[in-house]
Formats: sequence, C-alpha cells, structure tokens
Amino acid sequence: MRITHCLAALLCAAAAHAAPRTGVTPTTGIRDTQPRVHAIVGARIVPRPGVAIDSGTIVLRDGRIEAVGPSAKVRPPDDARIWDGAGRTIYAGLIEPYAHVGLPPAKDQRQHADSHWNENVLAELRAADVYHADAEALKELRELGFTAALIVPDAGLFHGRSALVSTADGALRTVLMRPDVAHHVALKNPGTPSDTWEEVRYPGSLMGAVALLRQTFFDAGWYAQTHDGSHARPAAGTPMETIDALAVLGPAVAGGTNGGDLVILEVTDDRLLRVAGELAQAHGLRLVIRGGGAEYRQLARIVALGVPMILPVNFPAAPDVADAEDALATSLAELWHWEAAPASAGRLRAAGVPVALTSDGLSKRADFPARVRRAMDEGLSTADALAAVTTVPAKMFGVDADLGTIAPGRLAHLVITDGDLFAADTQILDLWIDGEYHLVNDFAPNIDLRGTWDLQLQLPTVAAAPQLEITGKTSRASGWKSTVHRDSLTIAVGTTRLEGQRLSLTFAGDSLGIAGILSLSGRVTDSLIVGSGQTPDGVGFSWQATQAHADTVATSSPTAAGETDSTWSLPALPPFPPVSFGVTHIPEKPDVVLVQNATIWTSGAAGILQGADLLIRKGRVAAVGRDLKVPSGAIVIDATGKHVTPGLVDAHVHVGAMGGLNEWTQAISAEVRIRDVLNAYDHRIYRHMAQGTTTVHVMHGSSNPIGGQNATIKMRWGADVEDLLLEGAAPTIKFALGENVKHANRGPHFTTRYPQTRMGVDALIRDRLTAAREYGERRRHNKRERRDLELDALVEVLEGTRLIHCHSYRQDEILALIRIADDFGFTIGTFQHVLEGYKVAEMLVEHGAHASTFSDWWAYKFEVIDAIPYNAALMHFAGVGVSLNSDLSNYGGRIHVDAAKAVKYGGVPEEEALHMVTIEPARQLGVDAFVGSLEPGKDADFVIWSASPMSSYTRCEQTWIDGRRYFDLADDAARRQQVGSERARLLQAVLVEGGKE
Amino acid sequence: MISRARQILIRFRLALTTALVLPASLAASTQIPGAPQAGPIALIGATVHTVSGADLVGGTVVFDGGIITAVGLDAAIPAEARRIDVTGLHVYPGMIDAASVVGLSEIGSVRASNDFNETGDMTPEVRAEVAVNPDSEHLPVARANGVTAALSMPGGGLIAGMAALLRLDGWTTEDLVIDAPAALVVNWPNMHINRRADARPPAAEQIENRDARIRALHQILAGARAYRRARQVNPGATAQDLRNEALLPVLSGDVPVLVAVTDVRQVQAALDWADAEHVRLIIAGAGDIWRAGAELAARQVPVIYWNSYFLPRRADDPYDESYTVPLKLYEAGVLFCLAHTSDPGFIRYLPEEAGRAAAYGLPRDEALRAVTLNTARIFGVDDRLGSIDVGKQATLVVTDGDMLELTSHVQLEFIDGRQVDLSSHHTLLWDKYRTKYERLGLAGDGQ
Repeated sequence: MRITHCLAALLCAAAAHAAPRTGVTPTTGIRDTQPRVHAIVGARIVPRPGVAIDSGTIVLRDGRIEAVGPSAKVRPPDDARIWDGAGRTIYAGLIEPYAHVGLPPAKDQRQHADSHWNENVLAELRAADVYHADAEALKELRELGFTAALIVPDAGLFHGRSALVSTADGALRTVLMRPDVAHHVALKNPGTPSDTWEEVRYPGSLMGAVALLRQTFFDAGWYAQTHDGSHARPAAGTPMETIDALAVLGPAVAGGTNGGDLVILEVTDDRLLRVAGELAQAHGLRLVIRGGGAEYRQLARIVALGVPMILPVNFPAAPDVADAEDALATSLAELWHWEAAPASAGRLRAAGVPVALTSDGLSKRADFPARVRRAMDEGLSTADALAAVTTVPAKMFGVDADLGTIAPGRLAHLVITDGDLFAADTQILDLWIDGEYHLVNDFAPNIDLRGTWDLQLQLPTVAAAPQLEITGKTSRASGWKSTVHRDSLTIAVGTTRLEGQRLSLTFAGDSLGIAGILSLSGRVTDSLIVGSGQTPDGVGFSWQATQAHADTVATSSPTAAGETDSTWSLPALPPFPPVSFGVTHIPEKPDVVLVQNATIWTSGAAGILQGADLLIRKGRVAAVGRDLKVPSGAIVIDATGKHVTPGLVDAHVHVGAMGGLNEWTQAISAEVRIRDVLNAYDHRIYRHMAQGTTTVHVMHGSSNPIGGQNATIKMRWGADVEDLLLEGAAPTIKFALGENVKHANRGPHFTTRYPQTRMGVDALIRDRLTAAREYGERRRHNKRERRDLELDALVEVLEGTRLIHCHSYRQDEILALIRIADDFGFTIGTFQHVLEGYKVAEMLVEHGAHASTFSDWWAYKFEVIDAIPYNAALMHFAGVGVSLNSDLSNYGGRIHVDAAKAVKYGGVPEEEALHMVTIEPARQLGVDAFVGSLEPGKDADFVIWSASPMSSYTRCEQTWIDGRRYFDLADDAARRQQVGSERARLLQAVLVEGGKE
Repeated sequence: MISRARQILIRFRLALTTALVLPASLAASTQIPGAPQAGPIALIGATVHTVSGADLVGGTVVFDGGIITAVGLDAAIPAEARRIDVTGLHVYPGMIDAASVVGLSEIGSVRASNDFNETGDMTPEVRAEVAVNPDSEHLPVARANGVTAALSMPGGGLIAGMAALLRLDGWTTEDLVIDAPAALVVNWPNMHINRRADARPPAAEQIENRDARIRALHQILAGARAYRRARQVNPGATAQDLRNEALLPVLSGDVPVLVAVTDVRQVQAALDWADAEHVRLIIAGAGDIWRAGAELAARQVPVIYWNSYFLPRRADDPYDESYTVPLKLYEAGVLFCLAHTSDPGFIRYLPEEAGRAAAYGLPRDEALRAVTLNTARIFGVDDRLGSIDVGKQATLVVTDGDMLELTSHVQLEFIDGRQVDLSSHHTLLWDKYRTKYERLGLAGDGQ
C-alpha cells in the first residue's frame, strides 16, 4: 500500500496542476490518458458536518464523486485505482470564502474598471478577468486543506465581482469554478491622499463613503431604468454617459433589474452593522457580511438582519501588560475584546446565524487551524467549525450541488488528514481537487517519543548507559527538546530530529568522558530504537534505547472527541457599550418620581421656584410647584439645598461621531449624514452626560461651505444608535463660512480649491442652491429624473424643512448668508459660533435666525480677533435667541459654566442665562416641544446640582433622561469599582496566558 | 417681567457705582500702563483674603511705594492716604498663571504672530522675556479677570528655552519682568513603548529613540559642566558658548527646570534625571502626574498642573479625572499650582479652574493658594508675591464676589501699587456696540 502511495506521489510530483478539462487546448507530445477512476478505501469519512463513517470508501470518477459509504457497502469498481485510507480521515474539500489571492495591485485593478467617475467605484471589475495564479499563495491555501477559494478584488469601495476558483495551479480556464459569484462592497473609509488639494479624492470620511454607497445603489437603479441596452442614446436631449459599473450593479438592487445578485458587504467595524442593515433594506440587497471579529457586540442586530456572516479568525493578541505603567495604556475595552473575540463565532452560531470562517486577515495564514481551534475552545462546535469552511460557504455561493459535502455527483474535492481537522497534531496529507490528487504531506505514523529512554551506547572505549529525556508540547518532533542525563550531569541535546521512523540526535560527549560531539541515528519501532553512531574522531558504534516511561503530558486535542465539553461556559459578555462604564441594562423608568424641596430652574414661564417639587410620571414632567402631594408608590428624592434644572442641551458638539467629522474632499457635501457614523461606544457620551448634558447636536465639521447633515441625540448611555437619535428633532445641515472653507489655514498646498475667498463662498453657495431649485423642479415633473442625494438635502433647505446651522465668525459673511437666504426665500436656522454676531444683531433679529456661540473664546485665529465675551449678552438683549455651546469635547458637558459667563460678561440675568443652555438650544434644534424646560408634558430630562448651576462650586449629582436616572454619584462610584476589578481580572488573565507562552 | 434675581443684581450694581469713585483713566479708550504709586492708598472695609493667614472681614490694606505697609482689621491709615471704600467687596492677592505663552503668541493660527518655538531640539539660549509683546491684547484681557502675572515660556523641541515670570502691565519688556530666567523648559520625551508586533516603528527602535533623547538630556548638562570647568581653569583657550552659558544657572541650582510631562513614566524618568544631574525640578503637565504623587511629595518636587478642563487622558479614567487631580496632589502632600497653557486667550480661565477643582473636592482655600501663594513659592517669589502681607508687593485684586466664582467681577486692580486699567479690546468693542443698539433702541438692560 505504501508503495502505491509513493508512486502516486511521484506521478504527481510537487506540481498541483489543475485537472484536465474538456476544451480546445492542443496536446503537444504524448497524450496523458490515465484513467480518472479512484477508490479510497478503509478511511474514516466525514461526508458532512456532524456525520462520520468509521471505515468507508469513496469512489471518484472523471472528477466527480461516484459513490461514498461504509466499506462494507461500497465496493471499489474494478477499473479504479485503489488508495489505502487506513489511518486517514477524509473531509469535503475546504472552501476559503474570502481570499485576496492572484490579484494585481489596486492601481492595476483600477485600470480594469474606470467607467465610473469615482475611482472607488470599480463595480464592473471581474476577478475572473484579472486573476492570475499565485503559486505561493495557492500552496499556502492547499496546505490548510482549501480546495476552492473565492477570489475577492480589493480596490476601492465597490470592489467588483468575485470568482470561485479551485486552488490548483494553472490558467483561469482550468481552475475557474464559478465567475461573478457576488458583488463586493466595503463599508469603510477608503482614505484619500492628502498632501495637496489636487490629489485629494472623494470620499475622505466614513460618512462620505456611506453616502457614495447610497448614491451608487440609487444610480444603479436609475441607470437600469433609463438605459435601454448598451450604448443606448435617448432619442432627444443630451446623450447619456455609458457607465458599466452601474449597469453591472443593476441586478443587485431593488430599483434595478432585480436579479437578486448576491452582495457581500465588508463591514469590519461592528458599529456599522446598523448602516449595513439600512442599506440592505433601502436597496433590497441580498447580503452576506464579511465581518471584523467583534460581532458578539451586535448579536441581536445580526440575528434580526438574518444575514450569513463570513468571519475572520485574527483574534487580538494579548497586550503587553507585564509592567504596571505599560498596562495603563491598555484599555478595558481592549481587554474585553481580547477575551471575547474568540467566542464570537460560537455565539453567532448559538444564535442561529450561518457562519463561514476565513483565513483572510491573518498575518500568517498558516495560523488558521490554531485560530479555529481557539474558536472551538470558546464554544464553536466541531460540526459548525467544519461547516464554516464547507457547507456554509458552498450554500452562500450557490455551489452546494458541487462542493461542501462528500456525496455522489459532487465534484471530487476532498481533504485527507491524519486526524481530526483543526486538532493540534493533525496534518493535512493529501487533497483531491477536481478529481486530481495533490500531495501536501507524506503520511507518517504518528510516533510520539516524548518520555524517558534508557540508552545503551556501545562506545569503542567504554559502554555507557545514560538516560535520554525527550520533551515537547505536541507529539510532533518539530518542537521537541532532548537532554541526556548521566549521574548528576545533564546535557542538552543539540539536534533532535524525527523523519519518518528515523531519529537523529547529536550531543556533547563530556559526561561520557569524550571530548566532542557524538552523533546517533536509529530506527524507531514501538518502544525500541536501534541504530548506529559516530564518535568525534569518526569511529562508529551501535546503540539502542528502550522507553523507560512515556511522557505523562496528555496530547492537547481538547475538541478532538467531538462536541464541546459540557462543563465549558462562555465568558460573560462585556457591557454595552463595550467600553469602561458601559452598562448591562438601561436604567429603569419608575412610574412616579417626586423630587422635593429644591430650587427648580424651570426654563419655562414659571421661572425659578424656591423650595419646590418636581413630579414625574411615566418619564414625563407631570407638575412643578410647591408642596405637591406625594402620590402613592412614588419614588421620593429629597433635594433640600439642591438645585434642579432641565437637562443641558448643547447645540454644537462632535461627540459620538466617528470616521472623520468632515467630508472635506468636496466643497459641497450635503449628501453626507452624521447619523450614518454615530458611535454609541463613545465614552464621551457618558462623560458629558455625567456633567448634566442630556441632548446634543452632533455636527459635521466646518471644512465646506455646505457641509453635511447633522444629528440630534439624547445621551442615553447604554443605548445603541437608533435609541440615541432624538425622534422628532428638526433635520439640520451644516454650512460654513470664512477661513476654514477657503482653506486659509491649510498651508501652501491648498490654494486651488474653489472657494479661496469669502466672495467665492457666497458665489458657490448661490450656485448650488440654484442647482437645487432647478433640480427640485425637474424632480417634480419627471419621475425618472436621477435622484441626487446632495441636491435632495438642499431642496429641503429651500423648502424650509431642513434648518441650516452655519459656522460663521465675521459680520460680513453673516450678512452675506442672510441675503442669500432672503433671495432664495428661506430662513436660516442658527448661526453657529457667530462671534461677530454682536455687530449685526439687528440683522439676525430681522431675519429670524438664532445664534449659538461660545462664551469667551477668542484669538485662536485671525477671523476671531474681534470675538468678545459680551457677544451672547449683546445679542440676547437685542432680541436674538442665543444658546451657548461647547464644540470641542474638552469643553463639553459643562455648558452651565458658559451660561454663568453670560451673567458675568454683560449682565444677563441668571434665569435667562440658563435658557441659553436649555430651552433656547432646544428651539434651535426643533426639539423644544420635548426638552429644554421643566414643564408639564415634556420629557423628564433633568439634573440635580449640589449648588446653583451658575456657581464654580456646583457639581452635577444626578442626570435623568426620559424619567430614567442615567447618572448619579453613587452609581458612578460603583462603576469605577467595576472598571477596576474587571481590569484587574483581565490583566491577570493576560499575564497567566503570557506565562503559558 | 423682571426676575427677582435680576432685581437683586441691579440693586447690587447701583450699590457698586455709588461706593466706588473710579479715576478717570479707567474710562480711557486704550490701556495705558498704570502710573507709579504716588502716595499711600488704603483699601477699606472689604473682606481681605490674605491667603497666608485668615480672612479679615471688614479689613484694611494699606500700601505705599508699591509695597504693602499694613494689613488688619484696624490697620493704621496714614493721613495723606487715598482712602478707597471697598465695603462689601473682596481683596485678594493677584493670581499668577504658572505656564503660558503670553506675549509670545498673539493668534495661534497666524504664523507671523508666533514667537514661542525656536527651531532645533536644544535651545536653552532663547529667552522669553526679550520677545514678549507688552502691547499684546492678551495682557489686558487676562488682567481684567484678576490674573496679574504669568510665566511665559518657550515651547517645542526637547529643551525649549528659558521662561520668564512677567507682570501683566508695563511699557516695555523690561517693565514686565518679575523674574528671568525663571525656569528652563524641558519637554520630556515620550516614554511609552508600543510593544505590539505591528508597531511602527518597532518597539526596539522606539526604545532606541527614547533612550537617545534621554541620553541627550544628560549629555548637554555634562557638556555644560565641562564648559564651566574649562572656563574656570583655562579661560583664555575656552571660547564663550551661549548655549552652555544659559545652562550655568541651571547647574548651580539658581534656575529650576520645568519639565513638561503627560504620564507617570515621564515623571519617574524626570525624577531620576534630576537626581543624577542635581538640578532643581518642577514637574508640569496634565495626564496622570498624580500617580507619582507619593514620590513627588517625598522628594519635595513641586507640580504645575495645567488644563484641568481637558478630557481625562485614558478611556478607563473616571469622567471627573481631570478635575480631581488637584485634590489628589493635595492629599499626597505635593506643593502644586494651576495653569492654563492651551492658548494665551484662555489665561482668564485660571480662577474658574481653581473653582472647579474646589467643586470636585479640593478645599477652597487650597484652590485659592493654587493660583496665588503656591505659584509664587514654586517660582521662588513668595517673598514678594502670592499673599497679602506687609512687605510684599501691592499686587491686589478687588472683586465684587468670591474671586473663584464664575459670575464675579474684578472692580479694581493694583500691580506693584499701580492702579491698572481693566478695560480691553473686549470692553471697548462692547462699549462700541452697546452704543449701536442704544441708537437702534435695541439695547437691553445689561450691565
């Protein structure tokens, strides 16, 4: 049997060439007409996950599986070549579901797909057009048992379409299994070169990327509807562009030709899974998601999405925490992730989510089995692990009639091992790819020599009988270390090598009274080694060794026996959000709460009430007044000596946004939305809320005359984004004027983007609003008019349904924008910063714009040279609605301090000053019907302060939102302790694991 | 409707205008430096916050020739003294910002207006006091909020240069100097090593860079010592070296070294360095200096804690970490003061930062010390400044409330006995536009 095996190995040599296929390639030289009929007999066969045949036979004929079953039932046909399967286990060939292999560099991929104006849209690129076998990478894949791989292009955001190929070497025509398996799209910030304006590319932010995805999916639908055939020209009007990228996407989107094409979306940041779901729903996408490994944080969402997942196994390495000061640099969030990541696949499976595993993303692909084993140690069952690289990807890609299981009619894709797949000591021996044999490793009986051996050395001078000790972590010789002991001497053995059954050793002869190195070799049989050696002076001798006792260390294959150990349990999930001070549940909402005997700043008509009570029912303010009756069942809070205010409302923050605050690569970016990049894991939400802020306006940055759409959220720490968004808030958009938008402070390489002057800012805004007006007209009359997300937002501005919040400093630019609004017939919502608002307050009043300013910032750039802390007071007394905001998160959370400065600088009465951080910003955000004052019917968002909110010495003691207590000092103290104890626990775990290594 | 609070405020303001007879110069449209004190002045009837001792309610402070001559409940008032009734008000020593770029930077984003960062890694020879602009708009603005002195310091590089302690009123750079050089400014190298396998540059290279920078800090002082010896034993053959000359007062211990840090590792390394080099150390920065509190207290190394308004440094820090550092330093027994370095425009935040430290647990009198007497002690000028004591300079601030309260106003201010102008670019523009709205009939009833 062994001879047949070796012969086959010889025949196939090391080449992993593809199976012959019917085709037109001419034969040169002698034909190869070797019959392609094989039977592997006597092997353990796992035809599909969870099923095993202890001793079975597989018959292969002409590249397909003809029969499989117990050897007793399935007889090898007479014309088959017989292969000995004894000691081997056979699985269906593994499928690598996500490989960037055999592809040209990104810039070359771009050359194959340039029909779309944006170089991140390469939807028309076909992996099948650019694939070129990469022998080294394919060998790596085969060594892991993969017989097929999905080749995924990787340039831009719309990568193009993947192709399923076999992992055999050879031209595409001989290995292609399925072209155009899926469209590949990435939900990420592609980044842009940024040294000069000329090389900048859209998008340069995460929200820009989301906008480009949305626009492109819409465009694909529009293109399919308006473009009847390739190179079509409408009968009249301007000829249309021919855009292959959009044509190709048509069958993937609901608005297009509805082919139900598979879309594989790369979402490596779990915080973006919400956006993935929204895209799928809006555009009718049939999705598979290629995840990033932290999906355990979004389990419920993934289950609800009902989308299969492709997961990497590149679990985070243990951080270096050996030194206490170094450990400070490692956050609890990182530690939790280190602990929880390997369990992610198991958790998703337990929740019923189909999971495929990929080796993509590993720095060393060869680590794949060890990482899968780790996932299995953390709850992924043996059957699910196998399914993750066989049946699940086969079904995902629609090739389950050909791949994924061992059954008659399937392609002859097999992987043959010497043990359980993914077990520590298991080797991949051979593969069958399309019915062709591929050698990976020679079969060798697993000889474990670890233990103590009695040596008998027949040395020319003296006979010696030292002891030989062989140790190592696995039963494989590659990691072994040996020592020779004689009397009290211990000598490290220089070489310990086992090849097949031949053992070689070299060690110093000192303990035997011989100067120099002895070399020994011998053949291993059972517990006896017999061989010959050489002394340092070249004299031969014979030796033998008998095993005194085997190593007692058990072979590490915890999952080899099958299903998960029943005593194993998942580590507790981190809180939500999965960062320090995260919570395990949202605080409860008591039916009735009565805050008694406080100084209550209502920010409403009732003014400031001394010794008053605040009654909350079902999350809303029920009454404010003196001596309110205590309702039965009420939770009563004695607030004697305390002050109570509405939760603070901050009309300008950037807290809670991720992936770039500016889509700065275009001067007009009205299509981008902060809501797409809200980050519920931002611990600043907690930090600001703990200082009394309950509602904030998360804004786009100020790099563009027309920026992006903002989002108004409540600081409901522990909620995910949907529940942070404040329902009913007015849609808003960021505009900006002055130095930032004209690139005044960007250095010498940014002097060419239009606009470079305030004159140009005015002209550009007018031009784009004009475009929006015309577009709106066309859309009203023509249903087939292409939807333009940028102009959509501006149409809302013109219609007055989307409020402008405009970054501004100088009086001239403020007035210029007011005149634009006058000319276009809408009213500006709020001027932000507006540090020279005090110079044109009467214009603001006349126009009806509000102002949201800093209390006392100045002199940080030239255009704020006339910024004065009296700005708020001057505008306020002139009749402008003024709010005070923080903008920079360093200053966030405590805007009551800024309100106090309106008292200090300019003498605004304290009650009115508090309006500037409560009801007035609420008006500016269109949420004053719900928040901003303590009046019956409004949301119970309030703060209990230790002293007047106008005092330096005050401190927020409790923060309530929707009648839930999200913060109080005692809870916070307990959370600090939890953070400390969790850190301590995990740092110990890291140190223990480090010790093992 | 006029609220009760506003009614009280208006009454209070009326009381103030009748109580104070302000000299005509305060109404001037530009800020003219205060005239030298011409004769004794007595501030009568205020709560005197001496800082060095107990508060005196209804106390009197007398000063002459720029020096405090009497403090007490019944201090003798010379007959010829100008008597200023400040009943109901408060008198404090002027506040000192312990770290700033006042006078060296006018507008951060305008390169031409910045003079704080000389090129090169080691520039001990550059001196702040020669380049500060006495007519910077930042001086009157800071002054108007009770800050009468500030350390102005170079930044950038490993050794940035020499800082100067300045009074915030004067005609020339030389008028401004209280003490110069006041400290050598060193930016301690980053100590944290990213040991992850994918770190760029790799950990070994990071360690090499870090160690090279620390070595450079040792070597420059070794070089200066060798220079000092060579100049003594062989002056003829040893050319004068500006860089080494600048370091001589540091070697002698006359000038302290202000080492800017952000994390505990840097504090530890700076302590080791100062021990080895026998230099006088001041640790300055934010972040987790407090973690080295016990070591700092044991070695009596003072701390300048700056930018307490900033977010906590680490994700796992409690939300109030930055506010509670002063309390932690106080509890550890460290001599510390406060500063606001982020931008000269924010020097006026100093009193409220002290107030917020008190809100988060620091005793109020310690908060006040942290912006007055402690600062003076750290820079060795507590014989002249930082408290209201006989013999000290008459640098005094009169307020209408607790000086650390957000809503208090400075009513009068003296620097070395010279009454200073409390107007500024800001108040002038305020006046200008109040006039506009008065004419339009839109002026409210603001103060």
